[in-house]
Amino acid sequence: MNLQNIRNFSIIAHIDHGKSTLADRLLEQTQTLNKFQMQDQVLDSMDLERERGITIKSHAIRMDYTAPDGQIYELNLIDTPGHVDFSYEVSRSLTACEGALLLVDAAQGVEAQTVSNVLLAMEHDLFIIPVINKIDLPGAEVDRVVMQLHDLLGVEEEEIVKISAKEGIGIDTLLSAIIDEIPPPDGNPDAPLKALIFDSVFDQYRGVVAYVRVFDGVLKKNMPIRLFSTRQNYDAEEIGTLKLKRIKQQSLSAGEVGYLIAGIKDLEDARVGDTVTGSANPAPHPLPGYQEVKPMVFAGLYPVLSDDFENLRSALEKLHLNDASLSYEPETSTALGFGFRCGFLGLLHMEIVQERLDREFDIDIITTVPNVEYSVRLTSGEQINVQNPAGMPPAGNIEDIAEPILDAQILVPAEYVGSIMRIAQDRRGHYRTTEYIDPTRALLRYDLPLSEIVLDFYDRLKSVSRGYASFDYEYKKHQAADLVKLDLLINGEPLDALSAIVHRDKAHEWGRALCEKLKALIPRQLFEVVIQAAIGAKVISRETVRPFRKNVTAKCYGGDITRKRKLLERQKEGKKRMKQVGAVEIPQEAFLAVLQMEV
Amino acid sequence: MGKNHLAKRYTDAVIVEMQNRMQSLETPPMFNTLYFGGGTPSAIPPGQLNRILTSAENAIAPDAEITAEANPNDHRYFDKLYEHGINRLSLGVQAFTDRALKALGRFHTVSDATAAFHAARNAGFKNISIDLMYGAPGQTPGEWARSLERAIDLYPEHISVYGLTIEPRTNFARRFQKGRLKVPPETDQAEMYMSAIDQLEAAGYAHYEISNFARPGFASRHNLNYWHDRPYLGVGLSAHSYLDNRRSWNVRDLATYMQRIEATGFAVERVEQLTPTQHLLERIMLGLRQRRGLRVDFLSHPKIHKQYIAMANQHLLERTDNRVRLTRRGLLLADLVCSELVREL
Repeated sequence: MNLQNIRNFSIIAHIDHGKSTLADRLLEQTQTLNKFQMQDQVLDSMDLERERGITIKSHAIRMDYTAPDGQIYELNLIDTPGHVDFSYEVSRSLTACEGALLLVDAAQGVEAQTVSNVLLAMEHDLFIIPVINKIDLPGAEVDRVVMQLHDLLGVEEEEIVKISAKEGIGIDTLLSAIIDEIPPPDGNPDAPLKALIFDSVFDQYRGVVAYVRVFDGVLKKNMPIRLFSTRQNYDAEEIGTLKLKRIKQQSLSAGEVGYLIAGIKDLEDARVGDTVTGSANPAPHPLPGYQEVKPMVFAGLYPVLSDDFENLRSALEKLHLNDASLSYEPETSTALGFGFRCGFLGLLHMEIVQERLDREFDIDIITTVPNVEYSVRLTSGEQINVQNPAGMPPAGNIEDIAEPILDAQILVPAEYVGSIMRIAQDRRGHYRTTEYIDPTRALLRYDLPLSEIVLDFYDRLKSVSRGYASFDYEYKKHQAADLVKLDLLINGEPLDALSAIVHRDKAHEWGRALCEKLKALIPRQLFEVVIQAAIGAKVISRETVRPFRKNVTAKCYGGDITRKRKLLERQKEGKKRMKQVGAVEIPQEAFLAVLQMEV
Repeated sequence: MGKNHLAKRYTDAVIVEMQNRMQSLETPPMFNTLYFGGGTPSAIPPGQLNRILTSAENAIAPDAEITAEANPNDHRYFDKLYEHGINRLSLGVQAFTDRALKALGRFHTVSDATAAFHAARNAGFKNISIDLMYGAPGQTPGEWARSLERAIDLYPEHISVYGLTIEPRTNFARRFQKGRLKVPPETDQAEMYMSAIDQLEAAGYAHYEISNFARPGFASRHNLNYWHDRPYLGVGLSAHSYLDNRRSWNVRDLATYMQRIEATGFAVERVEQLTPTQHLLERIMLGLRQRRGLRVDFLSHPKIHKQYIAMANQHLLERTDNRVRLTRRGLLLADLVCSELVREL
């Protein structure tokens, strides 16, 4: 294909602004899929993606479009993950494109994620086509959104495409805009091969399938190739383009998008952002911007039934095959037994993994309170990373603890600015700037500790702003803070799974709330249960669960025997799901309690 | 349909069921005990009980214990009951203070209860059991002790002492949930139970099961049969049976019961074959409730022994010769001890 007839673009949008529906409509309009093949949200292939209305993986699909002028164009739509947890993947996908459709809901208007997506697209020098979607909705406020886009991008109204993806309104105009406005790719087919891996998936029969965008040179079938980051060599067994299925091709040239199968066994060896080159005539430098994706949020995953440990291990192995960003390492907890410390890109990523373990593998798990990775400087001068609060060294050995800080952007209607600022303050946010993107909407920027958003921050934002606030962030740096390890003791024994690293100013409140919550959840037992929160040896909060004084069934005759036996059988099953600390039985709800704490 | 007609039709059904069930047993049974529970004489008149007894005449041992349950207000039936061969009467007195009787929603008074007891003796009953209940709304340990004294004064052969149990979905439960019903605090209930044991033992009653006390020779043979894991046949509405290691029970709805019997001769709703583990669970549960306890070899089971040692160390279980039983503290916490003991089973 002539480079002049290729357009590589993505759609960037806030959640629910209609990205997947627009993709469906483009596929239909270009006759890439006929009505018969259509199902809603074709590109979101996981059930979870369809249900949650978000895209978790990147996808790419090629559309051959005959323009009104009779020319045939190759349109490569590279769909990006729709969540901040996956922002590195988004940035790699954008690198593969020359243009982006910025899709904004006519009723919702510009959101925080829209702003950060725009900034990201600008960073990658993409040509942005602003698109207002859902113009047919009764609540559509097209004029207001036009103003917002004008303020954000400096575009005039006539440059904005107005559509309804659902009703198929304005799709032709949009296709013309894609062809007329988005520049064709450039690149030198005669130079040494440089192709970017912008995503990779695992196929149980073929191994890794890497999605690539060729920047220079030609990727040919059977040619020996090399990956820059690992320096490993492979043969390009199969290459091709992506429609709903993989279509084999003999080659992919500069400017083209497609897939590569090269006998790569492990997703970790075909990392997103890596550059593919030819072994025989390698490019001297890789494409810029490769980073190893590091987990940001950690939590312990434990089987509810200890017999499930091996099942959990094999489930995590399988998930990891498809999701190299999920990390896991075995760990033990005195309370929870054998489990894994898992690393996630963010909270949504964590939720997705939990849900997939439940749905696809049917394993009941207890997840400990999520935490961040601390960088700890010891008095010995040694520097260590701590991913589990229980593993924090004794306070006496610590010089300082640094925590991850985010560059956070919160976009909110002006009337809620005060409440949002109070929350940000509560969460130890460091105020940076306020910008008004239009007279009614403010973009607040904060430096915010990641640890402060892992619990219910987003829900709080939404609830104080009646759902209007939107939020986006990226990692900025690690920074020292006055953090302490708060232990929870049950009859004097530490319940390691509930240890937490908290700011000293919040330790009392946290300890009190945690003790109260546990008091409500730990059932009465044969003996008194004392719940304490402590910093080192100093107890800062205490509650007791009074023991049973009397627990005896009065009557046990004929029919009572069966009823009582069934009750015992149920209790027996219940006890198998309990965790023990010393002699005290702790129900699994207690480990989740922290997630629902209002502190 | 009149009440008497209904009682007759029900009795007919019970007799049919009994004969069919007896015929389906491998060997003809010889019953050492009979118990008419659930219905009181005001519901099923003595004449109908007599028809049942007569129809099973050949299967009842000559010295069988034959018990009927009655309320104090049923005293006018006592002569007839005795005449028909009932030789043990279980009287649902519940309390010997009018305040507690009212709080429990009973329709009789203390003097009714006393009069009923004497009426039973006069009718000829030499084996009378009195049911008492502690923990009535507003009851204090002192009031409970007075109730017990009055019961002991009558010197019945047997006394059952039950803690008030609030059954779900009852009027009581609804009032309790709404906070309109104040039951004594758990510490008071524990004290009442312990004082009952002390008072009754001091008066010559042997504590032979968690809730049951008897003068020598008067432990309920019928109930011991349940707790000693022996078979029993239950007939009538929602009656439970235990035969050949199977537990079964009849339908719970009166109309369904009669239709099923009239149509098929049987009204079993469900049969459960006990697995060895379930059987063991029941034997432990029933053994623990008896004051003589469980044979120690039950506790050497590999999945029980560890818990047994832990319970013994907490002074909840104690060893007497080749048996293990609940301690006094263990009695108060019997359900917890039992569920802990079998947790690994």
